[in-house]
Amino acid sequence: MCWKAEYAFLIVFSTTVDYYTANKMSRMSDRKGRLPYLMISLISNLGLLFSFKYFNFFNDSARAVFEQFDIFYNVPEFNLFLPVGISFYTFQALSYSIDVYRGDFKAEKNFGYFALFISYWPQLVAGPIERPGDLQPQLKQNFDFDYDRVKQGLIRILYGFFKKVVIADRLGLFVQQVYGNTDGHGGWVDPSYEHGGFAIILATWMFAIQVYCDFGGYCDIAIGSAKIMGHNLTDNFKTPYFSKTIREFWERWHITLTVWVRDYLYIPLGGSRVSFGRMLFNNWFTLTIMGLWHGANWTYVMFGFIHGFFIVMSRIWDRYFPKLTLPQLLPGMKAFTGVFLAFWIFNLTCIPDIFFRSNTVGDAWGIIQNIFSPDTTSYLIHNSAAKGAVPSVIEFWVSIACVALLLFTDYKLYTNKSVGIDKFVVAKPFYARWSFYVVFLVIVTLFAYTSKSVFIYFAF
Amino acid sequence: MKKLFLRIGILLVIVYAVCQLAISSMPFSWGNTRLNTKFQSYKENHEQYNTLLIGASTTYRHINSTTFDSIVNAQYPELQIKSYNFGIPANRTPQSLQMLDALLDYDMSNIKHVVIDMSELTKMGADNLHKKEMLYWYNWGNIGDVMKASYESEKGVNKFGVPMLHAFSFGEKSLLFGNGPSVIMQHAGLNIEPLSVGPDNNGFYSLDQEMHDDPEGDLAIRYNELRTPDTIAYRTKRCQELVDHYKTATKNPNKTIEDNLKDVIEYCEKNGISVTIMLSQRLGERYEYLIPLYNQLPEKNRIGFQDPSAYPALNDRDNLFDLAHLNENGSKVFTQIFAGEWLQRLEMQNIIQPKPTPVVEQDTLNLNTTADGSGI
Repeated sequence: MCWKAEYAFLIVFSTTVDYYTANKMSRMSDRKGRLPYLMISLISNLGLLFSFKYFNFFNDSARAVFEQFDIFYNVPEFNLFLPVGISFYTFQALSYSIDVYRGDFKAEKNFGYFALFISYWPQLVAGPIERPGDLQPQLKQNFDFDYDRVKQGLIRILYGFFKKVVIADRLGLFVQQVYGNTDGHGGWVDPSYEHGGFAIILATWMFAIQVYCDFGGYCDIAIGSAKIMGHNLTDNFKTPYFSKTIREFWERWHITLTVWVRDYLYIPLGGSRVSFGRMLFNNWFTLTIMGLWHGANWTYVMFGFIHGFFIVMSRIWDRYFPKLTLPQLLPGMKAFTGVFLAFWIFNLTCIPDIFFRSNTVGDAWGIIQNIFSPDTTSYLIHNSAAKGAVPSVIEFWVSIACVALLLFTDYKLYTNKSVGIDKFVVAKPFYARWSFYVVFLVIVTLFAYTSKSVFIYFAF
Repeated sequence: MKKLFLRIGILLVIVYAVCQLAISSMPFSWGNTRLNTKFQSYKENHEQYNTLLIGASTTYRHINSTTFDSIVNAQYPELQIKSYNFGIPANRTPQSLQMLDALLDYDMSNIKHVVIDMSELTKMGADNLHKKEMLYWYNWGNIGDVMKASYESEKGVNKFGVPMLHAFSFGEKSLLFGNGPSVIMQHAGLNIEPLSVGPDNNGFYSLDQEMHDDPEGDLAIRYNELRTPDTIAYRTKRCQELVDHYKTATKNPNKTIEDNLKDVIEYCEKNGISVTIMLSQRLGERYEYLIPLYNQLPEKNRIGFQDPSAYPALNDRDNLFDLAHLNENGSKVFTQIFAGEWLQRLEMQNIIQPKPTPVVEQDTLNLNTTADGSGI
């Protein structure tokens, strides 16, 4: 992941190619005539993505396979940095070309507006991945200063900062104590800091919340910034950790990617209008590809693969045991079943998160095995004021308190049809609104974690 | 738009007030755990201390308060010196002045003598941004002078960049930005490092002692790897070159700090407190500012240890812990030299009358250690 001025050429290249091919396609009435231009767009966009993000991954994997069979393999590695945001703007550009090819969207004639759509700064580096039909028309609209809209944008930004700089960055300290101490082969770099049992579980829970707050916080800031400028971006997260099924989770987590993959991969594969077995394959395959989208590493493949497995299991269960669900078994205990299922789904999603956070698949297996070893939670925190990288007990309790506030706020949103925090707050009476402003602004001011850190999703 | 800015303004005022309330609930020392520990320990028995030794690590690690008190009191029992070492690693001169201000504000009734160890003036690196140790000491009373002083002493773009860093840090301090955990830690009584006040509980903590107390820390690396004959020779040569170059420099590039120090001298003297400004031997960094500034201070109020040729014992490998600090033995040597020099300044300030030089035993002192080579 890196910022390099010359990498701006990539986005310029991608924009130019897609502008040209889309305009060519829009002049043709049949899909057959458009197909070559679509292929040009797909090959150039995916080619860039493959070259910069995936070439070394597949190259290394191929080398490992060839070496297993003692076959000479001498394809050199590319020494390239991963340009920041390439996965996001590539997918956005692809959706534009495919929509134009399908005739769902008319090609933009003005290069400036099209370039603005591809490089729209609030969501350029980490999404949400916007569809041309949603964002492009908004870019052409004139708007006047609107107090309510700006207020909503600022509320969204404030909540995004709370998630990102107060919670995500702080939780990262604790997560690092476990996941930063692995040696790549299932062991620990520093044997005196072996982790087991509850320490690993706690760190994994923390990582699950960290990644939600990191990415969700970034999206809130992006959506809020766009709103101030008069544009509505798509919500990317809708209180995902209150989901009661794994499928509901994916309807609430990284929504724009899920919808993208559904529309451009899952449905073209046949979606659910095929045999049951094929539908299961389609689900599993698309989730695995989504995992690979996150990064060029087998850990991400495993992340998607395990989620795919969960989705397949839930499909099978729904088909063969439709009445064997907790709410139906315990009809009078709605609150209990709700809490239990949310907690159950949260923990299920933590399993692929172990792979997501680990540096290698070996590390992930090592961590999973160590869950069953004796507890050493004390290594996560330290009682004294200054002990290097080991966070203090105060940081721990601050984190817990802030996560509790997040869950409370998210629960309120969840019970309000998962509206955005901005709409939720502005609908409240004066005292509640100002309490929100003051409390969250004071918390962000006093409890921002101020050491250098970057948005995790910049890496993708 | 007016409505929006008005409401944002009201909100910021509320947040600022909350942050100020939090700041006012803490002692001045909250941002530095060692200083905070020292201040808590000092408060417990502050009525017995009459001498404050303020400065950076060259005070903290070099002046053994117990030894200093006994040497001085042996010669001038009427002084009844009882000193507390407020040396803090990496303390800058403006920080020392803020610390003195706060300590005198706390209770100046017993204080008779103050020693301030000059340090690098105002330099702060961007790497230190956001760190509470770099924030806690700013206030409305010193930020203007600190910015002005850094403008005077920096060069090139730093002339504007460094003052801006100070202003930014002052802003962060005013809002306690990211320091909520520090506030909780302070009120929970966790902002302390008990060992840092030293075994005699008077603020002196030698590096040897700290290395002994924390064998896994990085002090052992400093002790074993930095203190080679070659590096010591180079460091001594470099210091000597700088001292020789700036020895007679009269053009002080930092008028603001000079004025601050002179104001302190004047204020303290009005209140019956003697002030001595000390320039310790350093790696040589910032000598181009420190020595010309030192030259502007009244002779009766200054002690300079910057010249390696005048104090060879301070460059003896056996007395060094690393390139910038003395070890336990070196601190004993330095404390004796310092006590002698300090008494001379009290004589010059007419606080005490001259006495014959006492005979000191050969095996405890490295003779030939004073500027004139006559020993103590």
